[in-house]
Amino acid sequence: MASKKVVVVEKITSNTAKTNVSGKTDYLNEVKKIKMQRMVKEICGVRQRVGSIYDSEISGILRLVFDYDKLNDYGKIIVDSVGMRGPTANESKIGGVKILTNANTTNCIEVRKIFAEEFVKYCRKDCSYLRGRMDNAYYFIFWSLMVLSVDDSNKEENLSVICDFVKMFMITDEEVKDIISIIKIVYEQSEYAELSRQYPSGETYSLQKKRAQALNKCIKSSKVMRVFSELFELYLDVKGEAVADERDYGKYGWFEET
Amino acid sequence: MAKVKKIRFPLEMENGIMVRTLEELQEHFLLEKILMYISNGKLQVWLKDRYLNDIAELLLQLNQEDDDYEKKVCNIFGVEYDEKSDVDLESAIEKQRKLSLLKKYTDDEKYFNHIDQMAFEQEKLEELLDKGITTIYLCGEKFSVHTDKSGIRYIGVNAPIVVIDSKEKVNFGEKNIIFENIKFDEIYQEILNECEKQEVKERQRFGDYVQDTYTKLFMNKQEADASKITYGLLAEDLEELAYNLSEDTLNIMEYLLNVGIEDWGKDYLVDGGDTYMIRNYLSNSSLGNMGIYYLENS
Repeated sequence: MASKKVVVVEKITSNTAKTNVSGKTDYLNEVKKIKMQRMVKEICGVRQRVGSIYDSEISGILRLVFDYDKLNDYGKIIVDSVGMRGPTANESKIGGVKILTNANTTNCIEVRKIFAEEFVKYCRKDCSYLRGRMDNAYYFIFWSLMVLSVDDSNKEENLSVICDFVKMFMITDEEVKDIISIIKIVYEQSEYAELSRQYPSGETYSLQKKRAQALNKCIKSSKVMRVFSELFELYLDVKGEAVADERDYGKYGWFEET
Repeated sequence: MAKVKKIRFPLEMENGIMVRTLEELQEHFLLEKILMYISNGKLQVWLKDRYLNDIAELLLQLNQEDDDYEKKVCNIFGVEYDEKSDVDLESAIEKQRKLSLLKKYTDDEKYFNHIDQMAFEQEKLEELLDKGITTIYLCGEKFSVHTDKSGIRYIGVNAPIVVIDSKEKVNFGEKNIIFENIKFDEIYQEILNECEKQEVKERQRFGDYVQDTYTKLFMNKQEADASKITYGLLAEDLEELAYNLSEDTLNIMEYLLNVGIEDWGKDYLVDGGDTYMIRNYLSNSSLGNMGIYYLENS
């Protein structure tokens, strides 16, 4: 298998060299970009955006963290694809539908500051009748870390801003570490992903139990577990088993070892 | 009143052999040890315990200043004197002193055989280095080690402090200087700790937390301080987190090549045609969450 891969690499490299000479698009990079777009689209697609219909739609929200022009193609794909609901027209100084894709807008610190402040306030106003707004905050951090995992430019500054948002959203260190674990699951780098391969879906109850235990070991925060439950369904195929509604079952206690 | 039985201690000869009788002593006779036991009085007691007072008396009559003192000792015990052995009474006494000193620090017998390579004070360390000894045992509180003497192995017996007179980290590996079971002095240890921190920093993917980000404009100090701590935690966690898109894509590429889509790619490359087919294939096919894996497995 490995030697086969080498052959492929050689083929692609020679093709790439050929195309570069003739000034045409790099074939491998094109496929990589399509792959990235597909992955982002899938993750965005699994989840209905949280917020009421009166809330504004913010495109390019991740520009609050990243300098778009400095990102590589993969980082840009994520930033372009991820949007979130934000404060309603009444709640916002800017009001209406918000688009952060205008360079003049995002490069202006004052505008970014207002956007960021309003977005933080919006997410933190998560109460019984505006339930789920805070989920946006978790996804905001998730996507920001995803960008960081494909793009190393300005990494210290970008991670510092992410950490600033973590604190402003009042997300705990344990929760943000769990978000990193989720990214590892998406990238199949985690202990859970390894176990999933060992115990494929369609298994017996005891195997499901083992997978659920492994997931519980990776993700410690029940809040994070709930927010990203749709993602687990997509990537882990554990519908309704490992990921349960904590309101009904508690913190997944029925699977824990006694 | 019950009679107390007297315990007769044996004498230790070469290779740890314990002698309890005169015959055994004659058999395993080692002049160096005997001279040492004479000097510390143990032999007198040993002889009297065994009612060999006449031998003890003869030994007392000898003058240690005599040139043939060692030969006379051998004669008393009926053992042949080997002139080549040239045992020095002073060195035997010195050895005994060192052994007693060593026993104050450790009972580990593995060190007893290295008593000649052992330094209990700085002066002795210099002496051993001058003699060209390459493995030196350090037993004491503190020793100063010269970094210019290469090819030396220093072994601490009681984990002594080794003082290194240097303002920067010394590359002991390059000088072939090895330290075992020692502690460096506080100043040098501090230099080592700083270097270690620097090295760790250089190895890390992420550098320092950035203070002057626009987000600080609306954060309070408490949040900013907490953010810095979180940065440290996350930087560690993110060290390994990088999506290997190339490797992942290669699986797709491999699959495309296997099912003959390679030609489409080639057409695109050669003719600059549109990527519709590949794009369409990857974007719209219902192959599972990441595309190819599930189809391959099915």
